[in-house]
Amino acid sequence: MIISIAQIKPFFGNLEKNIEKHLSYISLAKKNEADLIIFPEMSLTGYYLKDLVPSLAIGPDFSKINSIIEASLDIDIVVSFPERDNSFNFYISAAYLKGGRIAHIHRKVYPPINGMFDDLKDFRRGEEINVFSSKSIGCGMLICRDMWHPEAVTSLALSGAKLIIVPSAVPLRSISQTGPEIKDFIERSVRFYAEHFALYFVFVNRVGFEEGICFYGGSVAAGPSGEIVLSMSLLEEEIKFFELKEREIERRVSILPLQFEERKDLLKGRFYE
Amino acid sequence: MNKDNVNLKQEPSFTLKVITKFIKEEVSKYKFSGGVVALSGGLDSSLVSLISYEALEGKLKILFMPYGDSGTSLRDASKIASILNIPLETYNLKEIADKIFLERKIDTNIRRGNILARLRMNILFDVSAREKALVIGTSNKSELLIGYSTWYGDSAAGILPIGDLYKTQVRDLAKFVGVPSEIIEKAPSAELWEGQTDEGEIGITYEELDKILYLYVDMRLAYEEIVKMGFESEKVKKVIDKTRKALFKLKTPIICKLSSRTIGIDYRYIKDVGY
Repeated sequence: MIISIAQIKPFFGNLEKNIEKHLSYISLAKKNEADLIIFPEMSLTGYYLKDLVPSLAIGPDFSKINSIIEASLDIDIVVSFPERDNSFNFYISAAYLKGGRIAHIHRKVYPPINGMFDDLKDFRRGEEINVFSSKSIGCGMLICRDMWHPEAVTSLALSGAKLIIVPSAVPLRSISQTGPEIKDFIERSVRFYAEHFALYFVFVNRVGFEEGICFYGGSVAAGPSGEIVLSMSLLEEEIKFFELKEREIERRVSILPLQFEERKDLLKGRFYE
Repeated sequence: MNKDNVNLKQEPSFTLKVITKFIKEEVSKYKFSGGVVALSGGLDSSLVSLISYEALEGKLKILFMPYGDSGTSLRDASKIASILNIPLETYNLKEIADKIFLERKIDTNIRRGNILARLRMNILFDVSAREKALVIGTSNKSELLIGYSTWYGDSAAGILPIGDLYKTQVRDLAKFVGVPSEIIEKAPSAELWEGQTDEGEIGITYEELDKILYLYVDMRLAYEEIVKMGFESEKVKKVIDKTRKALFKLKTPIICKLSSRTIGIDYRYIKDVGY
């Protein structure tokens, strides 16, 4: 399975121009025989929408993005946008498009509200984390801050996800003598999760600035042995590809069959109902 | 951690790349034809001029606005102009400022300094209008945080590329970028009056000021914790006090809320809207 990551800089608040940009990357991915293309968080609108959320939200009727949904007849697509449900609630969502329809929607379960983040002022929390089928393996999605919570990743992994996709909009903060500190944190997490749960973990970040806030790029994917299978440049818009090898998951699981030892029963009644 | 091993060093090539991209993106986002920097010949404006020139592929104006005989400033500003190989547009404020000082009986250093800073702002924004060039400000994080700037004077700008770098970090980046050493080594001065130096006026070295600010602002340490690391309690108190008193300069003017949506309070848009 060939997966492409489109580390893009969305146009702020301009759905039409972003749809155009998505379609052009989708066609590039198709030319490279990719099976799946993943865009970052809020790829269709930009991130700091604040009072623009109601006018830019998509749903419950998704006709505004029909052209992208239709493009998923030939290639699976993950896009992200502000979503409105039929009760006029707003969520930060990522949709997995497949076969010309929406196969799955994940609503950000941990929209942050601290420091430079205002998500919870404008959006509600998603209530579910579910695994669905992508091609031939179990797949799960999280959005940005969701992956900072190990229980969210654990929940997907214990439910059978072998590909975890995380569209993100992670801003740069402190820079140390070795570079952006956040990059090291993300890479450690991505490799840790991938290795411990024997799965492919794909972090897709965006680039560009919104009112001085720099989204640093550095998208990264790790495979089931914790190996980095794709590492993208800092700050630059680009598209890159890697191959998800199911055989590598199978091999890893047979070498270290942690997943057969899992004890969900131990968690029961302790943290969860 | 004690006061000697507080480390503000950054990987300079990455910082430079972020700032370069920022300048380029902002100028093109707002559809300006280039940028304009008020160059004093000091560290901050020299660095910002060099980076902006690269970011904007030469589409940069530099404007030198001394008050009278400017000593080493002209030499240093000219040096930057010759490195960039672009003209140094000069406007001497002496005549107009002296007229104002005399007629308005402005006789304290602080008032004179403020008048000069706001005169510079006037000319700078006029060049911006003439050239359709974005005003690229040169304020750094140290001076912004403690309010060491003239409100609507030197702090007035479209963007502040080094506004999140402490002065000592600016110095490191300037070395990396290749700002001439005589500019890096001279004592920082806002040149509000003759012989004035920043450190003399603030009463603390930038080395120490930056560390205290970094610990207080970035690391969110409390006053007692910073003092415990070996800093003089009086200095720490003074710095923290300055940051609190400077807040008014960092925000839009306070609006009396009367309606359901009020600018600065619950009229929430980032500046990128509409571009």
